[in-house]
Amino acid sequence: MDKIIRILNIIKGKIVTPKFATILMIHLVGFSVIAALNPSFDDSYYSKNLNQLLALDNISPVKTIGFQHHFESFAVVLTLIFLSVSLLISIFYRSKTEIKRNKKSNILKNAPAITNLNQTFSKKLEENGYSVSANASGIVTTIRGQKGKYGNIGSILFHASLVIILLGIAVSKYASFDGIFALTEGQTFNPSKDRFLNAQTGKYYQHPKEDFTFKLLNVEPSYKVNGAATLASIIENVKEKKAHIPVYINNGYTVGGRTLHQGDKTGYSPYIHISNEDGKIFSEGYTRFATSSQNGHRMHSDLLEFENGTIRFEFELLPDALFRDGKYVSRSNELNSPILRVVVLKNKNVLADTYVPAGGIVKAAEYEIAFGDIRRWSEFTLSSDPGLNVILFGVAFALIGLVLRLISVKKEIIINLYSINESLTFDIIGTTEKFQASFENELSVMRTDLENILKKFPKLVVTDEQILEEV
Amino acid sequence: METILSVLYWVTVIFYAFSFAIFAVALIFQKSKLLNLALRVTLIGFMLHTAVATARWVDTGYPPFVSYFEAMSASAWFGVLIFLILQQWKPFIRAVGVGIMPFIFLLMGWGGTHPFGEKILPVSLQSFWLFIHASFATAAVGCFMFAAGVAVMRIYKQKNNCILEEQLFIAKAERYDEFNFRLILLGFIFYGIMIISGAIWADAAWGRYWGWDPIELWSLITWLLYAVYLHIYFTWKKLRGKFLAFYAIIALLVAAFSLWGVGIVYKTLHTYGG
Repeated sequence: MDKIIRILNIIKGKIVTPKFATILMIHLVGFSVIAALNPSFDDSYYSKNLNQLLALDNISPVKTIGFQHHFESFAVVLTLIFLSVSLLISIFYRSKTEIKRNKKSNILKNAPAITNLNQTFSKKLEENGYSVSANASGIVTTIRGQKGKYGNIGSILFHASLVIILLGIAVSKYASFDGIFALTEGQTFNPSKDRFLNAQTGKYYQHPKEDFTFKLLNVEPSYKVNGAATLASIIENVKEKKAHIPVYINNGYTVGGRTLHQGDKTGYSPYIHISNEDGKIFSEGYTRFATSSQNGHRMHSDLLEFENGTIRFEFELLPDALFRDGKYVSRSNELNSPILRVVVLKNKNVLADTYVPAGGIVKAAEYEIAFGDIRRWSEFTLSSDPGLNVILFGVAFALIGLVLRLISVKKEIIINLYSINESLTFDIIGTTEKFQASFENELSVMRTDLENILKKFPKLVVTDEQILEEV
Repeated sequence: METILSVLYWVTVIFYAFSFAIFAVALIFQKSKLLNLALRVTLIGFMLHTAVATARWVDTGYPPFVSYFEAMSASAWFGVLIFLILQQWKPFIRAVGVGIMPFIFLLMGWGGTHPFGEKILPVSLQSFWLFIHASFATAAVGCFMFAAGVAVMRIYKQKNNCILEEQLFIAKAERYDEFNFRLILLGFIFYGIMIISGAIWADAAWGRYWGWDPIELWSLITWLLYAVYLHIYFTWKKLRGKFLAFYAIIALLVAAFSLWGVGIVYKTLHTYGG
């Protein structure tokens, strides 16, 4: 144990000091700022204008190192490891000091109150919110007032919570799963058999044995408050073959240790049948159209390619079509009078550009395109993050610690009361962990008050005979 | 209604600007009587400000910190509120008005350039968490703004020797440092609660607690910046004073950017109503 403490002392004194922790935090801030300024961090959110404005591409570190995965980079991970070690050692030493301090305080608590004056002084300290203990030794009586001991506990709790949060982040990184899939109404998805559009799997993540199949019944695209279902669906437990579960857009559903959640992307899947004059079928079924925003309007489009890309069909769905100025435009995103625009290209040459209403068939060049009904599709996420609960636990701890730290400031006032030759005199000293200037003011007021008490105090009103004899 | 509110709002801004001018004159020309006048002007401005905020609340039916205009106005209101309360309790705060009022009327002026916002709360924002999240953001920025004001006063105090320090309620520089620390600690806690409540709301709304959205990232940067401030205060005692005073002012700019500037520069999921 001694050896361990000696090693910890060396680490504490030379490497893991609070100043070092501060430098690590500055390092973390720097990394976060670079991440925030680098537009390649996440193209879907970050404006390219900022990149042009700051000419970030020209800044060599950003350009050469890339920083695409800032928070997974070795430097950040190393910073977090150092920070964790620093925190752990700090917690160890803080706890050790706190235990020692409490032991000392208990010894003092048992000391007897000696004189009336002693009691009056103690009362004065207590009025100011100090917990008082007294100790008599010869002609000196020491009255010790302490305040803010919960501050230290708060500080320990807060730093411990950061370690818990960092631990949670590590668990999240290595043992979590986050998969995205998209489904059209009527389709099913089985996470063990079907492919995710995008999945991030932690190194130590193990797929649960419990399996399920998710069947999408219908998508309700409009957001409804007060818990109204935005999506109705069925989760079929393979073993039990039942369970009709409505899924709410704002309320994830947990199944087999994983949480199913509707994503924010949703769109239309029209039924399209493409065949040629010889009766050869090129495509048949519901096609998920991508949605994008153009000039404030939602655009639903897709393309299909055949025969090594030589034949290409480009589609655009106009959900609420209106014929205006020689062409169709969509007035809204609602399915009122849907029309499908079809462009057929062969070797990049446009063969046909035509429109077909829902339920209709159109002949474009040598192809026949049937446009059936329209279903909706939606994006879903399936995630499992065991680190999340650890993080939340840490956050709760952090809050308690911060509040304790805020409401208490560690202060100590020591009054030495001397009783020599029938005369009484005292001195007062104090220490504070912070706020020195206001504490000095408090101490000065206290000194004046005690002097006033002493002036009024009749000489040698001693209640403890043992002390009287000593004097 | 909106026209009357708009006029009252700008009158409030003028009152705050006037109060700053009077504070500045009181300090530069060492006229202690002007300090009381400045406080009275601030109080009148605050009463008008409260009337505008209350009228807006009654008009819309939801607390006024949802739109850009409302959020900025609410933060300024909170800053003035704690200034007025604390100066009564701690007289040495009175002269700090010269540091705080510029931030207040600049923020109010910036807020005034934005439209008032929708009268109906957008459906996506109809959540109990909005009020927790937004009120703690407002309170945190109010504290940071006040701290920056104290920092300005601290820098002024170091550079200028006042003969009438007692009459002008000017305290020792160390007193300002301590007070700044307390305000930033309080703001740091409020900001932490704002991030946590935001994460809980994000989970309910978007299915994840944290998504590295620009505002989330900048909020983390701001929080870390203030954590660094607290660490420096504890561990680098030599850097207390002027350095940390400048730090508090710069950190406030980062905090303001993370709340109201990010939406201008970046595409973000976080939207202000209206």
